[in-house]
Amino acid sequence: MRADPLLVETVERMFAENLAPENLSEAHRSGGAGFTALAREMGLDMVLVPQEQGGYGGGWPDAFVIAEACGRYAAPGALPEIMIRRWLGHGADRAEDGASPLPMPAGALLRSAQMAGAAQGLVERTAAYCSERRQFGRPIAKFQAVQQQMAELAGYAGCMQAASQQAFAAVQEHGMPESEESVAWLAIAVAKCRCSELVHPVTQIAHGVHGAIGFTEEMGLQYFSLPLWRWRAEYGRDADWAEAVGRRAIAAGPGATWAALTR
Amino acid sequence: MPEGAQSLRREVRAFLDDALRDVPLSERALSWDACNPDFSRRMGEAGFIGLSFPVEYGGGGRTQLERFVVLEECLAAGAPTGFHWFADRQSGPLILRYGSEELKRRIIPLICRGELCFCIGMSEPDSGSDLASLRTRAARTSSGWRVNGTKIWTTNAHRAHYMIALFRTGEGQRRNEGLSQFLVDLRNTPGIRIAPIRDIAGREHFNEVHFEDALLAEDALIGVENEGWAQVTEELALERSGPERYLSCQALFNELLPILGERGAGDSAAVAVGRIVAQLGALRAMSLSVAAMLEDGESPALEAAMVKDMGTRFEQSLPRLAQEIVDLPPDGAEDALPYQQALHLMTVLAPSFSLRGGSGEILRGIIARGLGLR
Ligand SMILES: Cc1cc2nc3c(=O)[nH]c(=O)nc-3n(C[C@H](O)[C@H](O)[C@H](O)COP(=O)(O)OP(=O)(O)OC[C@H]3O[C@@H](n4cnc5c(N)ncnc54)[C@H](O)[C@@H]3O)c2cc1C
Repeated sequence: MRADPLLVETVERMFAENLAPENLSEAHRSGGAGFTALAREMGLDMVLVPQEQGGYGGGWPDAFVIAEACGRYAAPGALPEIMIRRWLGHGADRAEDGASPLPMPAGALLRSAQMAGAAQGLVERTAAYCSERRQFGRPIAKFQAVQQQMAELAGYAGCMQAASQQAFAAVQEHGMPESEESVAWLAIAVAKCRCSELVHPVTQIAHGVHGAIGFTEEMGLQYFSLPLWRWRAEYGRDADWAEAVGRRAIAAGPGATWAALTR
Repeated sequence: MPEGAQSLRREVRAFLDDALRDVPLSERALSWDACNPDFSRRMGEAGFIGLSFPVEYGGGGRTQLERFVVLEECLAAGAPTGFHWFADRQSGPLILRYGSEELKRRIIPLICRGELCFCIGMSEPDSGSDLASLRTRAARTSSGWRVNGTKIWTTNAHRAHYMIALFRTGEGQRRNEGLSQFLVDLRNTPGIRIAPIRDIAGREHFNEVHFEDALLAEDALIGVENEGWAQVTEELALERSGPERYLSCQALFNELLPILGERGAGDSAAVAVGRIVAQLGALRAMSLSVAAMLEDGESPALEAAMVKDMGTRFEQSLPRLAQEIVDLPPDGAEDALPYQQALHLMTVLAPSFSLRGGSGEILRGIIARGLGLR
């Protein structure tokens, strides 16, 4: 199942209108209340709720679209968490309670999409910046050393996107895992492990290519990098997920591990 | 994955269980680098070659996703697929797209039967990364083409029936203009001399191929004269995005797990193994998404370059990671542990992973262009 193209279009338009780079600091200053209210008015928090219960009746690929976009546009507020709490059947009040953690592994799944989105956001910001910034008489994007780093950055983000999207697809196909034995567990583990693991290489290149300006509040990279540094550790660090995956692989042997990867 | 793809997977696994029973580790470790014509014929008989080619030319008429399943199962099991690999991956699709009707009817069924070996003649002694500078020239004659020049690093040229070659046929304002692709019948064309080159492990798989007034028929030209560069770019998307770009070291991984199972693994070994599995799973997701784009008729050159760059870096890191996890050195002797033999083979092979099919620097240049930076 692929995401609903209409939803993709709606999300892109709404996010682009409300979270343009020049409006980001304003949107964040207010704690994101305005953006979240707008998103809820449009029913984006209800994407996983069945239509009979007044929801949008979408699937996990649709949820990926929203969570990824929240990362990519550096959305303030807790729309992704609210979306998951709605799926859990929480009413409006409890759904907005941002303090209590989400159940595992749904929280890890969600974080992978947000991280993939934020990394892609950094790719776009950094590509635009290095095409404008001039040194030695030309845009720094024209230096091969910069190009090689940008290609690496884009590759990491592409890897995060693919791993996370695959995990959402696996949950759609096989259901939210209840234990490590469940089919979609490994896909979530792969996504959370890889996304967390790539946070540092991604932020290092993005900040590095920006130079000192990237270290200023005004530039706004912190709307991407601060959450990335936080998310990588939430709902299991990469090392935690890797250890669980590794133990299972060693116990199961190569044939069973390959079979689990390709289910 | 759709049920159709998963039932095909079960078929391929059953086939490979049987067909690989007597194939030694040394051959399985080489996988798509190992040529075994008998095995390729069996694959063809079973219908696993040309899986996504049209049925009317002897193909399987199935999807790119289903083809992906067959490839990844072959690689994971270490099937010696080298004899038919290039034909199945890129030469067949190229002929289907640009070849004449007569050519398709003559060649494609034989590819699907696993009877034809193809090689790719792009690189030359003075043209590696800078492929567009190539100089081997095909000059028009009254009845066809006369070719002079040298190709190098041509994998399997000494076993191949055909080469898909890129020759200079004209001059353009830009260097990548004036290039054309040809189908060269290596076994029936006078004026072609093939000299094997030994690699650092003593194996002979790639060659120098000399063209000395070799005459080709008019219809040896594939596609559009002087438009070869665009065709090659499409072909490279097929060459760069497949599962062979991260599964070349699978034999090593397959030997590593049992060793750890026997000897026991501490926390750090478990973490390291888990990271390897996670990389494998994520690269597979990337490669699968390229297969889906190919199925939709796109030509995802940028995404393919990402898969190859990240995939080959992963493959290249495996021998080093394995040695951090298990304290056993590489050993190529026949009485060494299978794990040590695989480690030896992979340690020696690994440097080539990031070169064949275009170096990392060149791939990252393609990605940067895709990002609009060049
Ligand atoms: C095992 C193996 C099998 C092969 N099989 C085939 C085959 O079947 N058919 C075929 O046509 N070719 C084949 N090749 C050749 C392969 O495509 C080339 O090796 C590759 O394109 C690199 O060219 P080169 O070896 O001449 O290196 P060079 O181009 O000389 O490059 C050397 C180094 O310089 C770097 N470099 C070059 N230019 C730049 C630049 N502009 N910016 C930054 N860095 C740069 C490269 O990245 C590399 O690190 C094979 C190679 C190997 C190793």
